[in-house]
Amino acid sequence: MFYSFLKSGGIKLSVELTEKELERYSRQIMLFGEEGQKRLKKARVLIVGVGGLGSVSSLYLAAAGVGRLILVDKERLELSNLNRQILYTTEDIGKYKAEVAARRLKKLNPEIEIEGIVDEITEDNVRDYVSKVDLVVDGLDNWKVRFILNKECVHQRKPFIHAGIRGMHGQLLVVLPGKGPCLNCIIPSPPKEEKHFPVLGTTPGILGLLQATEVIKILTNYGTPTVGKLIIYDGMDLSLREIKVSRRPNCPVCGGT
Amino acid sequence: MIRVKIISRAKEIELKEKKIVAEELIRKLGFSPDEVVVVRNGEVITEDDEIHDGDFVELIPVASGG
Repeated sequence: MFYSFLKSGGIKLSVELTEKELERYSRQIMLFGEEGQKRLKKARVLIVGVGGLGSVSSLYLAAAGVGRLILVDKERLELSNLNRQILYTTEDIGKYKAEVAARRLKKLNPEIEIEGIVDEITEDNVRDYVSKVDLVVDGLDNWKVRFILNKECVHQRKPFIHAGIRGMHGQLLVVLPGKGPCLNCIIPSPPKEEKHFPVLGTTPGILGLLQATEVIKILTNYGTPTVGKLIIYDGMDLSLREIKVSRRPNCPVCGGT
Repeated sequence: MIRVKIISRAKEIELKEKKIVAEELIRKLGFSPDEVVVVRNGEVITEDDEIHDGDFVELIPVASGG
């Protein structure tokens, strides 16, 4: 068990699986059993940003049966989003992504609760958002909010699943506070922001899937979380490699915790 | 000799230095410390860490998009 909230604390209700749920999830119950599926059903996950990464992670987390998904995104869909943000259709241009995403995911899986919120995470509201969930998924395209979330997740000792993408490259870092480095340990100051970055649609697809995989592993206690490793995806030569990473002793966010 | 692989430029270079601080290396190659992760012999290091003769260093670009 990686986190005590999974056996007590944040999740207190015991749940049962319906006949329909047992059938819907039967192929993955073969992996982690009904107990694992119940853990997913009890779990609450915050996905911040439903763009390229969030489109993919939210689809697979909804399909896997995560009991409650909260999607936060302040933006409206643009035509140039559609090469990678696969939750949406051409008809959705101009609409708020969080609202369209919630409706789309509800069609995929009516058994789960999905809330789409048009909002931006800030220093002022981050505490409330993180306190309502067991785990946070990074679907962001900016470092300012990533660092706000990383800090709050470390503070509340909740897993934070970071990914970033550009072109045909991407990185993944699973932050398990107290058990490995946080985002600040690896990237101590915010990299330059880039509003219109080049990206092939498959890059966030792959990274979003890796994020969803790690989320499901952590929530079900199945497999080993990718902690203490920075995963680097390079689509140019199609490689996926892991680099050992350690906590920075003087990290202003997690140092000494 | 220090071997440096610059992932974003898909090239590898050799430096004659016997010792260099990571931040100095980053700037020497035209990057800023917030743009790249420095990997020394397979492990991420900070910008204050030293790189020595015989080390293999990789500069991995930080991807910011989502």
